Amino acid sequence: MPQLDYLSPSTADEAVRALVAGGGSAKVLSGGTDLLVQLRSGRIKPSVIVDLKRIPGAIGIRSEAGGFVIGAATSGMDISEHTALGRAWPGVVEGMNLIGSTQVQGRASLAGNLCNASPAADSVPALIAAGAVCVVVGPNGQREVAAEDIAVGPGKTSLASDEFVLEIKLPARPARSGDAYLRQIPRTEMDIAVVGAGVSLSLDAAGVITAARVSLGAVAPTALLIAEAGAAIVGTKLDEPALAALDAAAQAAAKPISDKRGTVDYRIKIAGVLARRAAKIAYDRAEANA
Amino acid sequence: MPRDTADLFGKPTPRIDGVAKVTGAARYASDEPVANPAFAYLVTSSIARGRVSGFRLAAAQAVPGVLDILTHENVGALAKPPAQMGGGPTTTTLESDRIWHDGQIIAVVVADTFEAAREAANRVEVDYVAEPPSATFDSPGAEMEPRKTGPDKQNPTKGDAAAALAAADVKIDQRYSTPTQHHNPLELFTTTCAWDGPRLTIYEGSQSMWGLKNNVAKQLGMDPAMVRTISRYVGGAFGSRGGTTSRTAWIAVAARRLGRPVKLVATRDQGFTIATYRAETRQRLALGATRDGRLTAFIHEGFEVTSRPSGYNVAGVESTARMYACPNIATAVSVVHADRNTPGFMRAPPETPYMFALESGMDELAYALHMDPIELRRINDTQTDPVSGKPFSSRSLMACFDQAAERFGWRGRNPQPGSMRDGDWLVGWGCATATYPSNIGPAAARLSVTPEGRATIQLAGHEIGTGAYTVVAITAAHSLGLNVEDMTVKLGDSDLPPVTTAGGSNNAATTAHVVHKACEEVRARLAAAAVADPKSPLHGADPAALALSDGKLILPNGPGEPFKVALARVAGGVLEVHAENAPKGLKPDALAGLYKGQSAMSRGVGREDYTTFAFGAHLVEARVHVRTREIRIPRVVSAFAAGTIVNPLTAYSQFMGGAIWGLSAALLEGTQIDPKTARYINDNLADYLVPVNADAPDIQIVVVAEDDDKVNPLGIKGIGEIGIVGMNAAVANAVFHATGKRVRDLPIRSEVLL
Repeated sequence: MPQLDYLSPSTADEAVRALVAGGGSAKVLSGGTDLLVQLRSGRIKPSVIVDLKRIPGAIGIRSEAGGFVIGAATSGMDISEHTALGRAWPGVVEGMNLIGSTQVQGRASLAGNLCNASPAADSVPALIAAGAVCVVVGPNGQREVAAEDIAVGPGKTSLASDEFVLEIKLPARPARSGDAYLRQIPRTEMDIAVVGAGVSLSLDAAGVITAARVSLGAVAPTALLIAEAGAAIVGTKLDEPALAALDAAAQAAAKPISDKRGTVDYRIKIAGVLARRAAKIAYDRAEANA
Repeated sequence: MPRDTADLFGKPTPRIDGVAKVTGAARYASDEPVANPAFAYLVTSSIARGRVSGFRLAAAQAVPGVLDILTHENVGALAKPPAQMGGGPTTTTLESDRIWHDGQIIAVVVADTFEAAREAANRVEVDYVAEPPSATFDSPGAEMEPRKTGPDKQNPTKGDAAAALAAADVKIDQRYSTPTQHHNPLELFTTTCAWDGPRLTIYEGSQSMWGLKNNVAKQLGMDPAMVRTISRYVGGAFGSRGGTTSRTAWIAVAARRLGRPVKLVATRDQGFTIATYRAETRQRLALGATRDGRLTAFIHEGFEVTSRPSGYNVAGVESTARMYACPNIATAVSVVHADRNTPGFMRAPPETPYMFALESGMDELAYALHMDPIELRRINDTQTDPVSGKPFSSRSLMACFDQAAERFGWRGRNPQPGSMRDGDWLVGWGCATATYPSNIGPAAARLSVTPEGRATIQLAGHEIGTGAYTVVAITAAHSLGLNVEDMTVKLGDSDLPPVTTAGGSNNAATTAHVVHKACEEVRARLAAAAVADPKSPLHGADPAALALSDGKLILPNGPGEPFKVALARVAGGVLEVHAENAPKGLKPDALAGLYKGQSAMSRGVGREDYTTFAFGAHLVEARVHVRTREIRIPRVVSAFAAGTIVNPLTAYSQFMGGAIWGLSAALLEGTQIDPKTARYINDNLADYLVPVNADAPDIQIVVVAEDDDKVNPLGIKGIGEIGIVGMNAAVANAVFHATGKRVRDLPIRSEVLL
């Protein structure tokens, strides 16, 4: 029988040392809702599992510099129930909240969803749109990595095997800002996105968009930050020409595959539709956040 | 048999096994405790066609705790292949080196723990001689042949359908397809075998206790009397546990080699290939009609995938040809052999795929005629089987449509496709006929009654989630004039009297009739003794006139005496009777065959006197988003007329479950197969989509009263399968009404509506 060790270090340094000792066959555990499934199916065969949950700060949400810092192993349920976070970043919260069932929400984490590196991960487009930054810990100390730079392909990240995400930072939010995440799935709940779209934007006093970030999921090997789509609506009040430009930019950036969940043509079209819809919701939320 | 379906029949009764189920006390097959079991794990083929040229087992055998590895090399001669659903040859497993399909069982690893068995199974190395496989229709190497027909398997034919179609005023002629589907019962496929000297006990969820017992005995060359099968509860079956599959005999062999009980719990993905499934179909349906909507021509051809050796087919044309009056009928069914596991029964096996074509075609014809689709069905409704000319024992199809339409508000429908809209949602209303033949089988039962008015009813029946325990209790209480809560029911054990396979929705009719017969025997014996006893108030009365009611033996509107007093006259303590029932229409040897594990059934077609079917109507609202084309079903009204409803509480659940499964088949379900490797792709519940609660809309079930004294004495038609039938077409018809786009291939995907 293969040997499998389980460690639950109480400091980040200890965790790094365990990962270094694991020499590439160690795996990081936060919620485990992907890791345990992969273990059981035999897709991964690590020699050691390093559980982050005992590290101070790994579970919890704190305010810092006007923004929020979310511990890597904080559950979806904790995130949903955090009132201030929900007011500032409703799109991030709704993306996280779409993952799995109520039971899964009790365990699943933002950092886990990000580092699992599924192109269809529901929390990731909203994180990218939000400009989230990950605090990555490793043998050489800490570094900060933008959310869009974590995944490099399906199931692959830019992290070294002895690094892990300790926490995720969401920036301070100006007034008149809003975000939103939407996905399309064949059934009504509990499914994997055919396309996901996250939009975050800020308005000036006149309702003109001053900044916007748009991200799409499930239309490429990783979730995409689409600069052209954001640029298409900056300087507008999200009128129909702006929405059409956004739609076109989203469709142009989408490079999906056909599989049993959807065809290339369908995904491209839906990418545009969802970008429009998410932008409208984000805009309405921004107006309400005066 | 006196006919009285009042009182308890028709009164909603909670399941008598409900508390056991929700508290976890109910024992499913793999929950049954056995002493010191070893655990089995299956090794399955990773190619779909070819031969095993050798195993390299050293790494597997080196795993601590491994006890035995069964392959064709060491056990192949110890068991014969199991009997096949519908007869004829089927694919084999360890009998030889032959690989018939991907995921075929090729070795069984047995170890002290499940984990060790799994680890060792993963270390079994197999050398193959592989050949390119044929996956499905149109695959190179797939072989088509007409299905084999016989006295019980006829392709309905009448008049000259081709000429009538050519001459018809209005016609449609279209191709339809339905996908592969897997049952995916929540309870995994499991088998536990334990030997006590020469006696074998098999714990396995089953729809055929005596069938499994006799089949495995035959495979192992044993006296069936030495084999006992136990299956007290089943966590879903839907046909998948109706036949005997290959794993059972090998687990028995493993347990015998080891001298220790062996337990197998196969994985979810293995369930896709070690059991059966609903095969994909292609169909041609052509209908011709007069301008006023009367059908003049009916042509239905089906093509079904099966395995290389098996001729298994469902041939739903036998039902579709009987739905509407039509003077000219032509049907044909062909099978297409591919390198696949053999398909088998799955909820309404013939009707679910074939009624999709017919009920879609009827909708297309209604549009071609500018006619309301319900009215088209009314014009062609008939009380006479159009194929055989025999009367239907009862047929309340239009009552179902009318009551469902009233509840649904069908009158408000604008017939123009794409005309109804609610904001960004296109709204469509569609309908379809539901039907299922009314089947009943032979059975035996043992009944004992005590002076306290308690009864124990024992029969090897099958609780597959349908409420079978409760149906038996209700029937016995009703027939004995006692209380449901005083009935003890024992099912799911082949040491009890045999009952035909729980399939074809026959269970309620089959078990209710034999239980009623046992109760009638008790009544007759109490009555005979009472009328002969000068001390009884019933002395001298006509014994046939006496009834058991409300804890008494009574002369209706006359005197009576307590049950206890009447019983004391014929038994010192307990009275026990054994009853057998062979319903009308069965061959004379049906009961004898039952004790040999053969499952006969009096079917909806083929009876000498009547054609017997239950009918229903589905009305569905579909909403399709104008931009994304996502499809949602907010509401369904389905009405059914299925004779006597023994327990409305469980009947509603059955109808509703069927309707939801029909929605699933329309919009979500389909097993995908890789054309190159002939391997199922989405063999797990994350990728094989079924509806979640949020997908299950407002479903209203209307039960239309129907009193049918011809189908069988108690008027029970069976309800387990009809709910799913036609729903796929009703959804497709509603989607057409919403969008103007006709979808003839299931499941309906958003992208085809763009």
